[in-house]
Amino acid sequence: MRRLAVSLGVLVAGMLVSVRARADVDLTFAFGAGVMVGRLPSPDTTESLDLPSRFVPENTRVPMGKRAYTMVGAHMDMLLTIDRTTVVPLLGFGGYTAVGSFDAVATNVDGSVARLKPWKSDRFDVLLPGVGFRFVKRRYAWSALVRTGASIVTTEGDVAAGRDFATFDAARATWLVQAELEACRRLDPVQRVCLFGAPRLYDFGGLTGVQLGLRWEMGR
Amino acid sequence: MKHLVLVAALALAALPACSASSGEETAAVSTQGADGQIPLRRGTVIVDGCVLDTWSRAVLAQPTTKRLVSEVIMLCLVPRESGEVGPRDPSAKTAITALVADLHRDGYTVNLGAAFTDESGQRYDGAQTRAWLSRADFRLRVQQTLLEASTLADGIEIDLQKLPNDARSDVTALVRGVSSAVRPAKKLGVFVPPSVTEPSDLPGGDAFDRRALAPVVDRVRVMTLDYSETTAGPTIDPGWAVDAARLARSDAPNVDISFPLYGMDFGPRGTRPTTWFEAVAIASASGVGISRGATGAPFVAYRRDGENHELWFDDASSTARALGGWTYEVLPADVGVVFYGLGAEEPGLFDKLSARLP
Repeated sequence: MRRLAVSLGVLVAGMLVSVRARADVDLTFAFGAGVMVGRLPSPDTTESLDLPSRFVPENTRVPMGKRAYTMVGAHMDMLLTIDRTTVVPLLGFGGYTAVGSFDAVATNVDGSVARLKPWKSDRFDVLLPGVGFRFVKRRYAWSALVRTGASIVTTEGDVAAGRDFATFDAARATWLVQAELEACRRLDPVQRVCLFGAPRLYDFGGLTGVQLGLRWEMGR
Repeated sequence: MKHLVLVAALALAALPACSASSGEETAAVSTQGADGQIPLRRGTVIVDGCVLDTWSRAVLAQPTTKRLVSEVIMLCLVPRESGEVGPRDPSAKTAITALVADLHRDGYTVNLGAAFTDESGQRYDGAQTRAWLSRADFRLRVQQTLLEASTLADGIEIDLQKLPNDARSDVTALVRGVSSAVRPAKKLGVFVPPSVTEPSDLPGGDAFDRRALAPVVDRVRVMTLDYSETTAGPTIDPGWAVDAARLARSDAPNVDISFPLYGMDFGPRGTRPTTWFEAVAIASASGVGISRGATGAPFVAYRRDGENHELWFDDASSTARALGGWTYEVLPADVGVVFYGLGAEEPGLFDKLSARLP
């Protein structure tokens, strides 16, 4: 994953350096909201648990199994467009929270009976550089790109300690690679509204989720 | 556009309120990521006595039970003050021999356990046992008569309880003596208290020198039972049991963790072991519901004869949940499970557990 990120970074840097002096380079800002569906990862406890029955160190894996999630949230992004055809996403941020009705997940924390509460899950993404292209025809534009990023999913659970239980926080981070596909309609010379889809090519595993939404872009 | 942004922001702010618990709980997660599976382990059941009633015999005859259990321990042998281990009368020996043969036909290995109890089945006072153990003639006689008893079965188990810490050297001497007599022709196991620290956190926990015992026994059975003793609560905390098994395994390679099949009734006059049937009957007769504690163990809070009781027990659900949590990542595959108290369990327990084996 690190090699992939480095390779993409080198590729993007190379492209930027090679842009001719007279190239048409524009900065675009995007703000979007949407739905993300996918699979929750098995998180790790974020702190040690000093229970009446035992001590559990932090970073203890809590098995989640194959649990689907639906989250909604918003993201913002910053992109470069070069000659109106090449797109270089630079940096983005996203935040999402679980929506809907979820079953508790009966699991264990190092052998102690526990349950995870997927409905208390949140997700934060930092989207890093990538590369893609854009095709423009009159008021419409279509683009496709691949980019890297990092993500952290947080959730909450209870762990049993004799007749009582204690609440714990758990989280898991990952590098990610996502494709971004969008279809936009220009509103004026600098604003566009876009339908946005982002399959997660790697996100705690291969092809584990997708994000769909609308976004508003400012930039030529 | 400003209004659009405002509406979108408000909608996003309200979204966290849209997620909720369904009120249901989906199956546990276990080894290899398969939901609800129980890792396969070496299984043993302990029967408190020399007799298997027809009900328990029928349970052991089931193929589903055999998937989980391969060994039966009958807590059958009782040492006397002289060191002689009973029963020694011919009719008892004949009955035990017949029972062992019957269990062999079903594919079980059978060990006879020596429990230090009196005729009424009560545990000897630890100080008395300690005094007996300190006598070389007592230990020698135990060794001799356990050798005789071992001819009836596949192995011998030593179940010593309530000993003071200063019995340590005598316990080791006893187990070494018995080991030299019965092994390697027969197997030898020893029950040890569920200590989670060293020195032991339990009264009398240091009476057992696990490091010294490990080379002279075939299995160390960690009695991860009776977690709640003075205040009402579950009979086992699965996480605590893991810690006890890990500590024992740091000293001995062949370790079993225990799981109770019985329940415990906590009242103002003390505790009383119970069965699943009794627990369910009390809940029904008292007109109270069965609740579940944090570990998933069911309990009944009821009032009888003006006294408040809490009866904690285990059923297929709580047992499967604990066993499912003991994944191979948590406890290595060579750690076995001892089910304590055959006959007290929920009917169909082993059918239900077997269905969750890989």
